[in-house]
Amino acid sequence: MMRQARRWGPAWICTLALALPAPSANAEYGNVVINNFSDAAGMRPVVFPHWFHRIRYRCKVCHGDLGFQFKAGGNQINMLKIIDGQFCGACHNGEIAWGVENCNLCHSAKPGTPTQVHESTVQTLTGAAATK
Amino acid sequence: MKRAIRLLPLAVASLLVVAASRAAEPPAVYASTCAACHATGVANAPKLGDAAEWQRRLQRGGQAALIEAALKGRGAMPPKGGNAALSDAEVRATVLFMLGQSVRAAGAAGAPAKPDPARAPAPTARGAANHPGQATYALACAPCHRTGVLGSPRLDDAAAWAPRLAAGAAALYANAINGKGTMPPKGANPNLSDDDVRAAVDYMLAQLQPRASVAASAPKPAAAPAAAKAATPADAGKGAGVYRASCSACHAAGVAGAPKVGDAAAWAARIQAGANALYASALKGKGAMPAKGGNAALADADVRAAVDFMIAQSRGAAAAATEGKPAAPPVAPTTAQAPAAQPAPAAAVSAAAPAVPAAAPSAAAAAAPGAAADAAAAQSEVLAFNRLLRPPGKRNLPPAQDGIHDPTNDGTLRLQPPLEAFAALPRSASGNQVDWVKALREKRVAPRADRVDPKAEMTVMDLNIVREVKGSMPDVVFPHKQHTEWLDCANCHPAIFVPQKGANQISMAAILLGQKCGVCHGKVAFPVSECRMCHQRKKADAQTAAAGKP
Repeated sequence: MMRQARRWGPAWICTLALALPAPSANAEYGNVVINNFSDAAGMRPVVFPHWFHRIRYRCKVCHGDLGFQFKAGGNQINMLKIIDGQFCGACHNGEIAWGVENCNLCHSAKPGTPTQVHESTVQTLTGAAATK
Repeated sequence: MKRAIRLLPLAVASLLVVAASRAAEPPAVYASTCAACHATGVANAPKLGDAAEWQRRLQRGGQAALIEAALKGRGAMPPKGGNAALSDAEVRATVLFMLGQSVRAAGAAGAPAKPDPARAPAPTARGAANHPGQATYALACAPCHRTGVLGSPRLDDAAAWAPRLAAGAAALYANAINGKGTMPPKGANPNLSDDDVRAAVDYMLAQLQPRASVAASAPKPAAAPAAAKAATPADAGKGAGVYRASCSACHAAGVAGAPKVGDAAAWAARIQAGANALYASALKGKGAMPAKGGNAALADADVRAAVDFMIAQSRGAAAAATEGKPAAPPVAPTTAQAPAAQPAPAAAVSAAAPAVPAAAPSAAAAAAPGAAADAAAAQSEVLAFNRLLRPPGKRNLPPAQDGIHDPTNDGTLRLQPPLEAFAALPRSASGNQVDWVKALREKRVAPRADRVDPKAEMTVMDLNIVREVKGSMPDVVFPHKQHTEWLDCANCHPAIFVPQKGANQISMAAILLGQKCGVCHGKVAFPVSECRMCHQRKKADAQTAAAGKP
């Protein structure tokens, strides 16, 4: 009986682990989810794809010239600042890149997704909510 | 036997989580494993989209032989394309997907394996792989023409392109090079040569041609034998084209209460009401649905064809789901392999709607192994060699499948899938699977150094800093050059690093927690799993020996 229990133990643990709805996010490395205000305002959180932007701009353009901090959620961006031409709004103004009327292209994360740099070591080590 | 019993709970559990887990979709498996050879046709591999070549192989032994070859290898082709981590079911589903992309794409003007535009393979997989204009398209054109922002015609919107095609390629070249309306000259990439831009336009036209030719009933691309073999009625192709151009905006994702194509439950009641009722709703509008999907220029017959196509897609999926669910992995592909097993759903469809006998079995074939692949993938993930490594089928997923983007959001479906852009870039083993430094060095990407000025250049500083490190790890060489290609001095100095040799305490622990090098490495720059990228200078032997002695 004991031996049987020992033999079945790992299998059932695996079964349990499998049966839990595992968070199976496999998004692109470096995707940033920003959820400072979105959920509370009833919008989907924002997904910022680093890969898409680094094909077109050096890091320095946003992180130097436009003043983006190297920290997910650390810039306190809101739509007013964007419309005034700060942060994303420096390019997403309908001239350099498409403008703010395309809400759902940025606000495209699953509701409730916490602020994170996806697949970062910080996220792995300190949980999805860590933003450092 | 005991082993089998022990694995039983696993199998049961994996069936339970089929719905919750995201298995490797055939397009993703194709992109990660098969595309290396089948996108370009190296080593005698049949090129995806090469209908004649696939047809020839199909005639030799049918689908069964193709699947067999994919599973066990054949000629230069290694078993499972060299990716042993794939389950048999995933391989089968991917073979069917590739077959569909190659044979049916030519025969039926690209009837999609799935109607969902986000899951539809990137243009690479549409038979124009390695088109000389593809890279330019992905970098310069796709940002607008994939999403249709700023009034640009979307690449999948045949209706929007029809008048432009009529104007002729020369006019399109001119507009692309000189700009027109909101379209900036060369898509705002002045570094591109005129020939590059023309090639990109050609690429876009090549993507459109099969679909546009249906709409304009222009001659189809030469694929006569394929078309004859597939025996797809023109109506099915037309329905698919109309669906994609006018219906998919809502019916692909289920926007505004529209029944989602492929959602058998949502369609069952509607199909029961009869095709005529659906025709009437589609032609005259109903609820949030505008008459003819808002495209008044459509002929009534076209709208009916699109309705037939959607019915077939949705009913086909339903039939496959009921067949596929109880079936174990080995059974599902059998139904897919034998067209003779399919007449049940097909006949039912043709009774109500005479249009689409060919599309129904194909949808069923795609869906049935899909369910089996889900189960198998969930199991193979737990038993994977290294569970912490992202398996090949889950790399570079399109936004709708990546677990972060909301697949029910219409914007998600308009975002560029990473692989479309990465196809032209050198790959690496980690992070985005892209070697960004190499991409920049080889000028595969030309990121601007200024928000508006495309001619601005970076101030590059070529100075290596060597950091001697404790223990046996090789010393770290920090190259200023590669960093200043992307960053300004002020990005790192003095806030992150004091600009003085030896003044910075750096540890791997700090890096892993996102400090020092970890501000970027482990977030967007190459991850810390690539030890040798930094720890690259071998310690002098004499020095190590001396350190070993007291």
